[in-house]
Amino acid sequence: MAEPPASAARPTSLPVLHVVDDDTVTRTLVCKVGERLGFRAEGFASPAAFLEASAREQPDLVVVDLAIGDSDGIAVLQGLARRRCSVPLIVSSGLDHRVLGSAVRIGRSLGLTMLDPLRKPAGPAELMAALRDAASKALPIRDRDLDEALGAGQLVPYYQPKLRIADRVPVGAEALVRWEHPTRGTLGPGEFLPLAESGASITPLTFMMVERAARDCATWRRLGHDVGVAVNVSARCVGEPDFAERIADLVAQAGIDPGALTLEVTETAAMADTANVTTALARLRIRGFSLSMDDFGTGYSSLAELYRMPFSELKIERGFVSGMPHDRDATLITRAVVGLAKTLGLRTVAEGVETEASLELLAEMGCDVAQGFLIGHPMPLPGFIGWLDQAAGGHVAPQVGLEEAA
Amino acid sequence: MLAVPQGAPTSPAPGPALAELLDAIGAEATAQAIRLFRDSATAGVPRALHAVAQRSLADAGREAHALKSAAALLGATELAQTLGALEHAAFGGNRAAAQAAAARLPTLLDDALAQFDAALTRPD
Repeated sequence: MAEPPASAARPTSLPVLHVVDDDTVTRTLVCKVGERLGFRAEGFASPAAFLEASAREQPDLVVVDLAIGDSDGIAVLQGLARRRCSVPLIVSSGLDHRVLGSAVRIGRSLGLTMLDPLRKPAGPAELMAALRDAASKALPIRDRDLDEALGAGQLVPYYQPKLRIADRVPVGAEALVRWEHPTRGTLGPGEFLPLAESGASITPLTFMMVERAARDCATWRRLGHDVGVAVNVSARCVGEPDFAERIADLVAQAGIDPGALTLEVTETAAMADTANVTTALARLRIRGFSLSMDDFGTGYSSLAELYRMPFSELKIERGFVSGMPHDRDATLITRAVVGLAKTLGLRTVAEGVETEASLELLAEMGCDVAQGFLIGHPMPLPGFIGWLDQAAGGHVAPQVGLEEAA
Repeated sequence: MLAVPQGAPTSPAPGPALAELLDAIGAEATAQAIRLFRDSATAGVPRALHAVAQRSLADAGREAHALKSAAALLGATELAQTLGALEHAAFGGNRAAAQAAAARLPTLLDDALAQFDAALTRPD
């Protein structure tokens, strides 16, 4: 593909910064710093001009001076609130810090996303720090960010333990992806997985998780903990022609048996492309991997398809389990799902187990495995190994919680 | 090494803040901002002095306010502080303090502009 000419307009995918300040020099400098941080910046000398422009194109970040000639920044806040615009804002002013604090509170009361204010006069270092911080908090995560995070090793598995209900012995862990973001802190999957699912990142992310989980599983097995690991796999990956071979290779390289790895496929994903997914899953089952239908009860499944799919395990969606025992309908549905799974010869795993009462009820129903905060929170590898050590020493009692092991 | 005669003008070294700005946004963008500041400050400082002399303290305060933030962002810290002092004194009705602050402005502005020029012409 030919490269665009050097004079081509900036790509519209750049995040947009609007700067509202009647001082030309300040406006120019804030815009320039913003551009250096990756924004497409536009300056406005008046609130009216800004509000008009932001109605045409919603910015991703706004820096607004509170004292603009005869107007004031509060008018900007009110104008954005009337439009139900949730753009993150930095208010700046040389006025008393209490005035800045009031403006922030007013903005929040109007439902706006108010970031830390910028007290003027600010030096260049303070301005850059404020914008850099705002950018890291306010900007949406992009495909490119995910790719870079994958390359930098910032996406890592955390392990949430699973307990066999009958004798309360650890039997495995689910590997859950976390993004150890350098500026935003540790991000849960909800903050980036939908983007990965819709873009190209999901395939490398899935294989990275399988590789890391298999390797970590080998580590704790070498330490004497004979428990397996489960990894969520995207239906898009499962449908790829070489999926089963790649998984088998990764597990062989890690040196664990296929039976130690469970691949969890969401119910909706499994039903999305039945022929391809069934073929891939069958090949994996033949190779000895365990297969779990995740979040059972939330998708649009047909029981006949569930019967035809080569699953070995069914995970009951947390929404049902966490409602027990007080929610009668949730309890009835969970009991029915456990019964259905038994009929089909599937192992049952209950997610979202948070109380001793629900654990006891699951035991009475005949559910096989429990997972949830009562057993343990997701934790990095060292914490999970510590949890396993405690369990091996007979110190794991679900009712005491195990967060401190994380 | 050439001896520098005593009293000869010297090129002030750019302060760390201005050097940081240059590193962050580059020479071209910094030069653009400096040109804008030069235009507004070389007109605004005399207006502020005139306003103080005319006892129009509110006008003096507005002029100082208009220049203060830009001076700080360009790393002219002392100029920004003095403009802040003038603004504070003017809006507080303290004419003596406003006069004292205003009297320092021309020299501080000259120093700042010289520092900007030096920063933009320094060899990398």
